[in-house]
Amino acid sequence: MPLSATHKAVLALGLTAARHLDEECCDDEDDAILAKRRAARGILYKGVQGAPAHVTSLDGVAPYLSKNAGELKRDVGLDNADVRAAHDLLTTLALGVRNNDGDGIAHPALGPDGCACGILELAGLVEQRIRSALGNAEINLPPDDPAVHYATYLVEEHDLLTTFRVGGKADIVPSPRIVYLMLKLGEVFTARDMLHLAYTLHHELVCHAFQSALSDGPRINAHHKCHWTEGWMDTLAHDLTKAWIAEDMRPANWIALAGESAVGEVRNFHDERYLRPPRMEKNDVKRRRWARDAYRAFVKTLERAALARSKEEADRLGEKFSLLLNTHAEADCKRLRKLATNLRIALVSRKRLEPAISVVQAGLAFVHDRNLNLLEQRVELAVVS
Amino acid sequence: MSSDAITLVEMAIERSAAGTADDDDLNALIESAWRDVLAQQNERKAVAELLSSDPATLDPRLVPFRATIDAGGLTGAEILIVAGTGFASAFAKEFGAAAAKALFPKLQQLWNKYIRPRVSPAGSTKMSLPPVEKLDS
Repeated sequence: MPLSATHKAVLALGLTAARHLDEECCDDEDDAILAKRRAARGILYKGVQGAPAHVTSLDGVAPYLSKNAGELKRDVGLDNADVRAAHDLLTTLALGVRNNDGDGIAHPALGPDGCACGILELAGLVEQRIRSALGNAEINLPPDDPAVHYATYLVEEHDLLTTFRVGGKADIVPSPRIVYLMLKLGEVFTARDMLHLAYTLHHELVCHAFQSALSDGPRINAHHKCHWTEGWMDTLAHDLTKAWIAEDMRPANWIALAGESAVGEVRNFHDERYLRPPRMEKNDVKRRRWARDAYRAFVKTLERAALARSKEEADRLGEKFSLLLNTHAEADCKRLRKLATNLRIALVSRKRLEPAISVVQAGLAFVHDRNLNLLEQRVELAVVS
Repeated sequence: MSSDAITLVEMAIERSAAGTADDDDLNALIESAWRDVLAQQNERKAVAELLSSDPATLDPRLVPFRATIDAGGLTGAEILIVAGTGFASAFAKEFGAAAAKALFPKLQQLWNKYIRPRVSPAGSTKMSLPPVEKLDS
């Protein structure tokens, strides 16, 4: 569902509050400064509440954002750096409103058709990062291939958005592939919501959007009980998100919360998927957890068996193996799910180092020969050994 | 097969948030439900009437519906139920493309009344309820 004019205004105001005015991210303890930030956040909250009545057409979005920027300046003043940043962002967003539904292909620097109100800029940053990770794994994809189209929608209520306000899904059958982002309306967004959004983007791209990226044939979408996609690859998505929000890497104008609080929040979001995922049988939840454990065991075995020279190299090889496998021309989620079961048996259930080492050696061989049939055979051998 | 019939086989019957069953599970359940319907003489007759068909021509091997994953992700998957290719093709061959096109609302009834309740009975979590949206024919 494309963004309506009202939703564009709501999203622009809500995200501005999350990016610059979340009290949790304020370094200052001065009550006067905190009061200013609260007042500024209150103006944006009022703006969100008033959007349905005041923004009824796309032509009304930019003036409404400018009006709210004006209120920040008039009622709070711009002597505080964060309030000034929020004011400047709203002014920029007002100039960047495009007469479309806000969906499209993402670029870190918005193209002429990219509407500034939504999440296309953030999606572009994450997509660029994932494409770079794919490049590091020697997966040679043309710069914009496969193309990914982003669609954002705001929902009043959703039975799957109870603990958190951000969700996502992907459809890789059509071209371009589509990543849907879902945000729940309510209060203005927080800096923690932005972390959930960053994680969701990483998840949809790493686990889904680039699955079978090298395939020219028909593609299939993964069900949420696919433990390869939602367990093994999700663990990699978590690690990539965690690395991205590190102090020196994160785009601070999007991700305001940093340090242990940010890492912990991403971990909570990740963990929830393994503790109480909705619409899953108990055994499927177990398989998801085992797939996560198997990914960790793969990397650990690289280190323990001295197949990697350092933890960093082990992490890099685990990432490379996973990305190569997930994007492989002959791989789809059903084949990968079967393989993930065997990987788990050898890496986790056998409780012996030998099968784990055999699987990791098979993985390293795959990194070189990229032969999926051989990998499957080698892993099966490790399982029965 | 005419182009009208080709369009028909791609028609969607239901799109809903996925439950605990994936496409393979659902396709097995759909197949079993269809066999079960045809095994009950009174239901076979009722379905034949619904489809304006002869009860003897209803084939357990020609399953009318197929489940696919429409999208998947962090918030869960979506299931799309479509009219099965083989069933609609066979129908179009026997009765013509126009009749096959008119079949669509009847297939929706067949799904809602006879197949879905067997695939995901009340209280079951195999499929979620209610559907996300009803698709236009």
